[in-house]
Amino acid sequence: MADVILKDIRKTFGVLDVIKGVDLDIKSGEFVVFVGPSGCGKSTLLRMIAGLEDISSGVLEIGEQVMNDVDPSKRGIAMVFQSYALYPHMTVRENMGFALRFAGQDKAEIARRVDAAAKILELGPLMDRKPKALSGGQRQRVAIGRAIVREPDVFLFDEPLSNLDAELRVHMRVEIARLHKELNATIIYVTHDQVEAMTLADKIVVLRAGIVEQVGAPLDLYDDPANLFVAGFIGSPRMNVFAGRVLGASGAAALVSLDGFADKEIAVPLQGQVPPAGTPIRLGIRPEHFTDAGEDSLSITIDMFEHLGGETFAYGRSTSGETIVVTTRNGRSLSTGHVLKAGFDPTRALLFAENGKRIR
Amino acid sequence: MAHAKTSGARSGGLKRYYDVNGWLFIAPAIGLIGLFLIYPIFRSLYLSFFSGKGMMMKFAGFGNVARLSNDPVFLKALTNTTIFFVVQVPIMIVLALMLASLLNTDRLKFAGVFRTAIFLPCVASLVAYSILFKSMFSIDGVINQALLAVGLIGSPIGWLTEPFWAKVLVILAITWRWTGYNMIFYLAALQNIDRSIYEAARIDGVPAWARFVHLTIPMLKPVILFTTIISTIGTIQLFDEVYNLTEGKGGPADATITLSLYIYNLTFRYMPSFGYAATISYVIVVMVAVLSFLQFYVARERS
Repeated sequence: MADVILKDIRKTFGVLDVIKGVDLDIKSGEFVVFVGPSGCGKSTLLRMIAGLEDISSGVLEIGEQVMNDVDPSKRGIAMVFQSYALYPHMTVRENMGFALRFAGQDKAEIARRVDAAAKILELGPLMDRKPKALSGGQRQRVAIGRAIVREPDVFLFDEPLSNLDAELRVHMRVEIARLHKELNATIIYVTHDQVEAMTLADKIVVLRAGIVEQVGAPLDLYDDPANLFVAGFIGSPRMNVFAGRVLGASGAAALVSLDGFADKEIAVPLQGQVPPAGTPIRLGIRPEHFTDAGEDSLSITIDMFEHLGGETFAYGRSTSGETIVVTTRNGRSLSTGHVLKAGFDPTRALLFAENGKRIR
Repeated sequence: MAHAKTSGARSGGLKRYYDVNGWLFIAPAIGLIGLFLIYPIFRSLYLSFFSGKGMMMKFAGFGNVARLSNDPVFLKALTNTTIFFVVQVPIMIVLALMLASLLNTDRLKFAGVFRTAIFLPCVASLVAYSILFKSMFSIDGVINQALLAVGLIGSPIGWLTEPFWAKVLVILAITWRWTGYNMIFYLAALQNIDRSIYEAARIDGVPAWARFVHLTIPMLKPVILFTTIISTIGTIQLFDEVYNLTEGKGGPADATITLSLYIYNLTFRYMPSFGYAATISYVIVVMVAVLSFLQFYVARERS
């Protein structure tokens, strides 16, 4: 068990800045998920923690020791790769025990650890098979087993479920959550899938273009995003964003109008100061926050549906051309061209400045 | 009607073997293969039962096989050929593997230049490089002068005149020519290996030598087997280098004569002895078959 601390970590490839100063404090036993779109630097950051990429500047501490220039094998970490990275010519047992042979462990100890890991991961009947005789999910379990036997302080997962089909992904997600409980290990997990991030993490780190946009518990990020990017990235379908303008203040609330709904005036409660009248703003409302009732409502002409069975995503457009998604539980009666009166609670609407920053 | 006929032909059965159109399509290929590949194989087998010079041949049964064991030149050629492949193939395979591994590291700058330079010899003109080797390895050639200058030898080595050094020269020449060729196979195979396998091994604390021995070599096993067999066959059939370096004589004193060169000499240099030459050709066939089988057997997948 070890804390992982990143202080102003940077990575440059020539003139290209990939990681632009990341500060993070990961507590022992925490499950931290790095999430972000492709190319945001989340895998690079993980590989820098692993020691597979050099750290251009900044300080990396694992277990109160500076690890910037320490060999990957001496950092007390184990990593699980997206491609599983199993040794193709070795059996499951040999794959799991291979590293221990070079760590000076005797045969009995290797066998004990491998058997223990096999038990946790239910790999018993597969131990003498080679990777090519395993399914994707089984291979990933072997890769996790190979990490467990080393008894590391920190587990690193680099998009471990991306190569699996949807059903297996859900199954393995549960397995990994269970494993975290069982081992009580520090886990750093990279994914581009926000559902994985929301379901697994104690703490999510949202990255964009090498910068940490926000760090927090999954539901905090969902309820209280720091900016439009995080608001859009967390939650599915994406949050609806409407362009508009501040009309004035009404008590502690900002009175705003929306470009796409000319006749509407919405009072959004704020804790801080209301921006001056005329300030352009963005109003965010999550699809699932539209209800039949609600203090306020928007009239939306529906032009497309996605029926998921339990719920329906209804798509429409505002007069200014913004796409609007509404999640509704009784969408079967709806038809194209129908004008939906989508009610919402203005206290759940989020206000953002034009540059994307949240106005609280 | 026509439709019914074609679909009937397509559905298999004896009928399709009588479809003359199909035969017409493959006839040119079959004709050429038959004339230039199948016929010579059987013709040489037939010839190997005859003895005599030139056209004056008579049936001798297994007389040629008996002659093999009493022919000192054949035994010499067999020994030389064996020495060449036993010594040269392992050296070349190991060298090619090492070079490929070095070229595969991403820290190496100008990898493309090195790769081309190492591969180039096998596309170079054989005659040009033989002439170059002969001049470099002559008594007053650049190699001797360099070795003398460094102080490794006291007097020049007779690379082309001393039996031992002549063999060394042939081995050097074929190694120089074919290492790059084999290296390309390894390099291609190495670049197909998932990089994260090595990264996983690095994180797991597997030292570099163990990554090479326990990961790289087993993962390259099919390619190593392939190149070993191809190189073995090539070395057993060795002809061009020896012919060019020794003016076709396999000298000095038959020190570098190979089976293929002996076959050539029996057919074209001496009074032609087609039957005996054909017999030696079959010796090569048997050697290649046995060695290939052995290599497959050694490299088989053990369960």
